[in-house]
Amino acid sequence: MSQIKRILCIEDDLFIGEMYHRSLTRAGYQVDLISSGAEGLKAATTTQYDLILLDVMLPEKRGTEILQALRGEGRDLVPNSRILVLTNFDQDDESKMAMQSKADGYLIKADITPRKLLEIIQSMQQN
Amino acid sequence: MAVKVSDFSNHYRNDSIAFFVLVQMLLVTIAGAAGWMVLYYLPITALEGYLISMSLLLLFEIIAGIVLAKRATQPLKVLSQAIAHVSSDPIQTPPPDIAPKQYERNGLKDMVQTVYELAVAAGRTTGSEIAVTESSSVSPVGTIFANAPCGIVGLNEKGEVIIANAIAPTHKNPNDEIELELLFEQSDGLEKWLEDCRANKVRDTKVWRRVADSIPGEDGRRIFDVIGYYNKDGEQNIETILITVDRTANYAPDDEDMDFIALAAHELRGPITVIRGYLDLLDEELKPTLAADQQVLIDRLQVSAEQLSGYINNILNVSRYDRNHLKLHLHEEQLLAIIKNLLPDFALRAKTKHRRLTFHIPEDLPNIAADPSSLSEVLSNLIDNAIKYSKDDGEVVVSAAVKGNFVEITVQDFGIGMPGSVMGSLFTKFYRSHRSRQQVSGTGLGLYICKAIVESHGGSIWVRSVEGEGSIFGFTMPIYTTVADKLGKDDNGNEQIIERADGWIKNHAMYRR
Repeated sequence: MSQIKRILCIEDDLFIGEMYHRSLTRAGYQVDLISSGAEGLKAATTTQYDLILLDVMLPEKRGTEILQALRGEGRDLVPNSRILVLTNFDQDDESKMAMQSKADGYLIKADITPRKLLEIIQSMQQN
Repeated sequence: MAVKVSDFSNHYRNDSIAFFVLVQMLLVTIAGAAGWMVLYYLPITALEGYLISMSLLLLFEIIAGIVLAKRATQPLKVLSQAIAHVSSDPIQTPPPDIAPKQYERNGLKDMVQTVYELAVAAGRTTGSEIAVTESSSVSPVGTIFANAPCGIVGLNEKGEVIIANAIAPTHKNPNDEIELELLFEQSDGLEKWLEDCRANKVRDTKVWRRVADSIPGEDGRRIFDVIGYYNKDGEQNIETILITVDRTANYAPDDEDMDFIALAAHELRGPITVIRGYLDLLDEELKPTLAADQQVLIDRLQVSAEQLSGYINNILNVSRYDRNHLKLHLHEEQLLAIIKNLLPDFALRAKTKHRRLTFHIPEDLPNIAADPSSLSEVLSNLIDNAIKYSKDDGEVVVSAAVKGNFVEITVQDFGIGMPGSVMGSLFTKFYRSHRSRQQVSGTGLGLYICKAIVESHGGSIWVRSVEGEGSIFGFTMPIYTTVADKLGKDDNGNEQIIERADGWIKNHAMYRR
């Protein structure tokens, strides 16, 4: 898997989106911030991203639907991207299992700071 | 028009007296007429005629007496039949015959109907129509099977449903076979239990709680408690009997509460993410320019925001635990690696509260079987408490050592300590000692959830304390090799997934050993 350079952040909360945007941009990544689920899905399929940060509770299209559209039913529309689900909503076990088969990670936003997220992204590249 | 139930008795008495007088008059007339005719046509004396007349009257009176008594007691018979019918087995006892028209006229039918209505009101029968229903050929056992307030299902040795009552959560598939409609958990389901029973047992009983018949959000979703009884030599090809008790009314509100708590937690976590995140950005961006005392302000803000986040996790975990939703995924873990990951946060917490936090974790500790995010919460709660109840510049020592099949982890402080009287209730929900309520803030959930998590791992938690000298909390986690065979392999190929305190990452190198 390639080095992570380009990141798509699909996040409807402006404060949180800009927080990740600022932190990741300062760390040298090229970040696109999109606040709608539908547009996020479009961007993910039309532009090549190395990493997609995906919120779950999104307007128009939920993160789980985006995940299903990108990697559902055996297909993979983003084979060169890693997908990291970032949410504050505690999923039940079934949804977590469903996400495990499609996403590359799952994190509770309130439990990680931007610096921790950077650490995680850097360590993902080492693999 | 029918007579009212309240007037039935008077009405029937008057009716009977009138009938009795009429019959008597008729009999006396007939007997008199017969006596006169005998005297007139036959050559007998008046005394003989009188005697014959009296004999005839006596005969008629006997016959009339039987008829009158039968007629007068008829309502008693019908009513006692009705009472017997509702008060004992309705199949074995025949219902009274209330078809004759006069019963409708004289109000007896209404009387019988009233008996049935009272019986229904008292829950004795299923409906007043029983009064006119023909008795069927169903046995009492059949009646119990059909009318029991719980589902009863019989399974054969292949696990196929061969009999089920109407209330049981079943449906017919297109091949006209009955199928169970119960969503057991895969790891602890009916099939797994049956497999285990067939391999190892002759008889067994098992109880499952909160088994739903459909996925959340479906209309008419029901939630059951299920009792399974397995008998290898079950008669009539019935190997397993399942009893299902519909507990939707009890469990559904819990689930709504759970939804509320999950939603509330989500709403609270949004602003906390922003506060923690922006503080983190400010801390990083301003670090070179901040004076030392300003840095202390930022640190304190960071620690407080982090604590808030911890409280929310505690509330969510308690809510899950109380509803049997707390699930732990045990993996082979290195205690040292987990602590190293938490170290910066712990160090900052200790520093801002002026405590000295030291760790004595041997490098060569065996790996433990633990759910890393839950274990992190236990450590976090105990260290937070130790910091809270320490004195200024006090020391908090975290140590670990092997103890039998377990690794024992202790968190010691040299703070205010506790009297023996409070220690018994320390791990109960919302417990806060009188003194701690006065001196230190808290929710009373931390130690409760610690105990729940530790015990769910198969470990135990304890406390020793001397008032004025400090406390030491200890808990044990199983050594991985002692439980590895019980844990088995994860069905989802999860060995590549690294669980973190705050989520999970696939193929992550952070905690690789």
